[in-house]
Order: sequence, then C-alpha cells, then structure tokens
Amino acid sequence: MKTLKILISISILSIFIISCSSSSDDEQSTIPEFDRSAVLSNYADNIIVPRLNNFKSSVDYLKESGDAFIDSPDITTYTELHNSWLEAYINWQYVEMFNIGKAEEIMFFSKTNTYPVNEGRIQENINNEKTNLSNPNDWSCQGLPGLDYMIHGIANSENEIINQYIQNPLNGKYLKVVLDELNNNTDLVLNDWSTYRNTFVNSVENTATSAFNMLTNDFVYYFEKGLRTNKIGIPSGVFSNNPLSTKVEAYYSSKNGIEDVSRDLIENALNAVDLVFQGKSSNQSPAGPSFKTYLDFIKANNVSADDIGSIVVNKIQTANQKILDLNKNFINQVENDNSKMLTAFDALQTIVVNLKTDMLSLFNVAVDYTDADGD
Amino acid sequence: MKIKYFKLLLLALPLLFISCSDDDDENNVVIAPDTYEFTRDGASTVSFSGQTARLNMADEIYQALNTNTFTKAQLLEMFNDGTGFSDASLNSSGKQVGSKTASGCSHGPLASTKARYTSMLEDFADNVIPAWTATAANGQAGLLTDSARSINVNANGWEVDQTFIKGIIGGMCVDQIVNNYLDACQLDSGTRRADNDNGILASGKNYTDMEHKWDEAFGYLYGQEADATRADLGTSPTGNGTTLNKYFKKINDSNEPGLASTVFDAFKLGRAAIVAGNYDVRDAQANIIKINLSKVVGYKAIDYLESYMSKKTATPADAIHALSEGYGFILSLMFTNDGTGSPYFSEAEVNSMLSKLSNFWTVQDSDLTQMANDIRGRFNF
Repeated sequence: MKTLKILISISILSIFIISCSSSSDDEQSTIPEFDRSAVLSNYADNIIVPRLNNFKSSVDYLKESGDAFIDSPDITTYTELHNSWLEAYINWQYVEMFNIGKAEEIMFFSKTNTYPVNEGRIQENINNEKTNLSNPNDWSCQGLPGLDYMIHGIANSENEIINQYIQNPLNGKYLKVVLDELNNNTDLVLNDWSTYRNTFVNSVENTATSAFNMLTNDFVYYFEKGLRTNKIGIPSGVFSNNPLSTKVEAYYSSKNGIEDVSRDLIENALNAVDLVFQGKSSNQSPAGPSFKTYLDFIKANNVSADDIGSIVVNKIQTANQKILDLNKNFINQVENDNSKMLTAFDALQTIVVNLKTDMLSLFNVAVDYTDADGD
Repeated sequence: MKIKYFKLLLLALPLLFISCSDDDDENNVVIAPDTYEFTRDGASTVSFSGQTARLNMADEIYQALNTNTFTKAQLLEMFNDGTGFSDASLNSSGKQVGSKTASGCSHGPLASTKARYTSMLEDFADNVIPAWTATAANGQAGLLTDSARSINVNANGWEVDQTFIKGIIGGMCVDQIVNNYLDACQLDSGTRRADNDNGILASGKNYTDMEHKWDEAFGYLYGQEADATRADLGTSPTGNGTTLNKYFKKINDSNEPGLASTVFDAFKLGRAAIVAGNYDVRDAQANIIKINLSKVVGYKAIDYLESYMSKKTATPADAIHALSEGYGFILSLMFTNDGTGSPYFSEAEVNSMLSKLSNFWTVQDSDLTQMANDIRGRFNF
C-alpha cells in the first residue's frame, strides 16, 4: 500500500515533469534543424577567401605601383599609384566585415581603415623615419586612409604632391612602410585561412565564441558601425552637433580634387553586405546558404510572421538608391545639402533594426557588443 | 492517513506549477510597494537626476523660444551641448536634450526627424526673431494677435515654441520611455539580465543596471515632481514642467481619468518585478506604460487639431497657437509604442501628415478632420 502511494505520487510528479519539459521538446522537434555549417562553408569558400585573395592581388598591385612611384615620382607613376590605391580600397569594402580569426587577432580592420587620419602624427612619423606601426595610436597613420593622406594629402595638388616626394625622400620612405605593413597584414590574414577554414565551418554551436555567432555579430556590427556610422553618420553629424565633412572616407582624394571616391566606396560596401546576406559570390551568381536562407527557413517554419529576409533585401535596394542620390564628393554633399546624407543614414538605420533586433533574435544569437549610453 | 497524504500532495501542486514556468520567473510573486521607493541595504536604489536635468533643460529652451534675446548659437548650444542655461547646475550636468531626441534604441537615431528639431531652433533665430514686431502673413514671419493672445510665428505660421516643445514630448520624453528604457534593447542589453539576476551592481552604484534603466524611464515622466516618493503620486501628478507630465495630468483630469494611476501602478509593479527577477511581469507592466503614455500623445493631437478648427474664426491667433501644439503632438506620434514595438503611426505616416500641415496659412480643414479621425481610429478612442 505504501509502495502504491509512492508509485502514484511518482507518476503524478512525472506528469508534471513531462508537461514541463515537453513544451520545449515540441518546439524543437517540430522545427527541423537548420544547417549553420552550410552557411559558414558557403561564406568561407565562395565569399571570404575569394574576396581576401582579391584584396591581396590589389594590395600587391598597390605595392608594386608604390615602389615604382617612390623610385621615380612623376605623373605617370603617380596616376598608377592612385588607381591601384582606389582598386585596393574598393576591394577592401568586401573584406572589412570579416573581423574574425587572424583578422581580429591582429586588428586588421583598425589598421587598414581607421579614419580620419592623424595628420600631425603622420608628419612626425615621416620625420622620425618610423618603421614600426604597431602602436594603436598609429592605426590612424596607416592603412588605406594613411595612404589617402600620403598619396593625396601631403600637398594640395598632384604636382605639388609629386614634388614633395622628389624633394624629401622621407615621404617615400614612410609611404613604403605603410605599404609594407598593409601587405604583411594582408598576407597574415589570408594565409591563416588555409588552416582556420576547417575550424571556422564547424564552429556552429550557439556560444559567444562560436564562429557562427561571432561572424553574425561581426556582420551586424560592421553594418552598424563601419558602414552606417563611419561612412555616413559621423560626417553628417548624426553623432555630433554639427556635420563634420573632414571625416568622410577617402577625404584627401576628394579634398584636393584628385578623384571623388567616397560614394563609390560605400556603394561597394553596401553591395558587399548584400552579397553576404544573400550568400552570393558575385552579383551574377546564384544565392547560396546564407543569413537570408536561414531567415527564410525560420519563416517557412512559421516562427516569425515577418519576412525579414526579403525586407532586408528590399531595404538594401532602397538604401542604395538614397546613396546614389548623393554627390560623389561627400565633402560637398555634407557642406551643401546634408539632408540627403541624413536620408541615406535613415535608410541604413532601418536595416540595422532588422539585422540587430530581428535577425539576431530569430537566430537566437546574443549581441556581443553594447552601445555606450549615458543616463 | 490517506487524507493527510493527499493534503500534502495538494500543497505540493503549486510548487510543481511554479517549477514549470520560465527560468526567469523563479520568484513568481511580485508585490508592488505602496510608493516608488526601492532600497538595498537600507539605501535607496532609485536615481533619475539625469532625466530631471533634461526636463529642466527642455523648459529653459521653451522659455528661450518665448523671447527674442537668444542667438541661434545659444539655442543650438542649449539643445546640443547641454550648456548655456541660466540654471548653472544644468550646465555642469553633462546631459543634453539633443542627444536624446529621436534616438530611442529600438529604432536607433532617426537623423532626418531629429533635423526637424534643430531646424525649428535655427528658423526661430534666423527668421522669427528679426521679424519680432512685424505683422505676420503667409510667407512672412511676425506677430499674430487676437482678443485671446498674441504669438510670434514663422513664415509658415508656426508658433515655434509650441511645435518644438510638443515635439519634444514625443521625441524625447515618450521615446526615451517607450522605445528606449522600457525596451529590451536597454533593459536586457549586454549582461544586464544576468547581472540583475546575480545582484551585480553598476560600478560604484547601489543599483543594478536594469533597475536603473527602469528608473530612468520613470524619470522622464516624474522627474520634475518635488517628491516622487509620495503616496498619492499615482492619483495626483502635479503636471510640473512643460513636457510630458503636464499633459499626462491633463489627460488624467479630462479624457481618461485613472490613466495616471494605471501608469504609476505599472511603474511600481514593473520595478518590483525587476527586483524579484520576474521579467514576464516586468514586460507586461512595460507594455501598460507604453500604451497609456502613447495615448496621451494621441488624445492631445486630436484635441489641438479640433481646437484649431473651432477657434479659427473668432480667435485666429489662439487657433494657430493650438495648431502649433497639434503639429508637435503629431510629430510625437511616431515615437509612440502600441505594446508590440510598433508606433501607432510610423515615421512615414507622420511625415505625410506633417507635409499637409507645413503651411498653417493654407492648411485644409478637411485634412485636419481626416487626421483627427485617423488618430481616433488607430487608438480606438
């Protein structure tokens, strides 16, 4: 009799226990599991590594043309150097978001694209013949913005700039240091992928340090900070009280009338985001496993009513239109009609909400960065 | 023996149910205190001095827009930099109104909308002040007078102190409460939930970050109350200041008696829920606050549109004053929150309404009636 009572009570208890756990089991069992590794494989093999190779080629070309210019500074070698700088800067837009693995370890994106540059410190570095640029204070003295200053900013016109290199060999020396640093960093990041690739594609668990979670966070962080804030938000004054036209990307090339490239850079950056989001290696290639197919998968299983994947794709189109409405020279755009910059900012910001709030919560990925907020 | 056994089993039942619920709800029962007072180790954990500072700043900017003695640089300094105020304690507070305008974390910075606020200040300095005693007309800033009042308007007929400050009610006060501090993007940001669960306090403070975020929301509504711990704060808000609390009190006294208590009770219970680590209760209270504070904006937008139409023949200046208030409340509509995370009217919908209100000299009654009806419908008034 006593045993029976215990049996009954155990069975009643187990009903409760079963009813507790079964709800979560049901949720999981009705949703087939999405293959996160397929996304990482597609990203690694068809997007990240090819893009890094592409960037590496343009950095090689940049270094070659830099060496040629340093050897004999004239308008021909100068033009070649400028063109190769632009090509590298455009290709950079396709890799900045992958701040993972070796790139994160060596602060690749800070070293390659911190702007505005610190003009005074660059001048000191030139005069001191500085060769070691590992100090974080030198992030704003190197990379593609550092080269923008060295190629377009040390004087106010092409001829004066070329003259500076003819008259003062220290300029050429520092230019070479910056080119070598960029080249070495690019080699480090690219070469590491040959071994990192397999770790990367299999690191799909839902933890703060898994490759999937980190890459997803990197992508959202890049979109919010590297793209929205740095390219549009800061120069248009969204984060300050007044517009700050000197903070546009590739400032010196526009300022000294060499070539207006700021808009080209963000156009490519947005295209780079679009391709990653849809899992395409190029605009012509078919869509592969990606953030979008993951969102589509979740949508197909009715967890979410909103079609976030399509919403983001459409909003990227809209944002691209707003960017195309801008003058190619962002300094002029900010100084003469900043409202269009704000409109472009708003178009990008609405995507931030979809990525950071909607997508991350649907993926159940925690945001690994916090915005500073005062009280 | 048998009966005793089943009694025990019955007693155990509620325990089992509790264990079934979400992890977050380990302390299921949340009891709200009588007043908005919360302590840890005998010391208060409630702080919202930054909100009080910003509300006082908004009041001073409003006063500045009622005189012709400020320059554009001074107005922008007060708004953007948080300095240049007559109250020296504000200048050293380190707070700004501008950085908290149209910037709730759930939607992020709305750059074009924020520019509406700075444009109003610039327009006031550039165009309204130089025409301080001119006669206002369509396209001409100046003075507009009737038997009820005398107002300074811009070239489009806006009384800028009103369009601005009513816009701030939504763009700062409501937005910071419903789309920022009561949203997961603040309350649960980073490690705040785990920190709250584990009693980890903000650096050098007596509160957890989550507790503080909730109090900051509270502060945007009650920050100018002389005593926010009084027992009748819920039933009798003072209406102090020129922003949200003023209209919160008005709605509680007219359109919807009891609304103030509903909001206050939700603030108390939600804060107690944070102390208890019960986030379902917390979020339910947040939604009550979001919906009810949004209603304040909805009611006033309708009131002022209709008030304009009823006054415009007999007292045109008084009517334009009302329409200016209405403009600001309509601007504020995009910062409301219906409890699902969406505003009652989107930014695009508000922009479309504002474009119909861009020139008060040519505004159409049919448009105003349509807007009032749309708002009534959306809020279910």
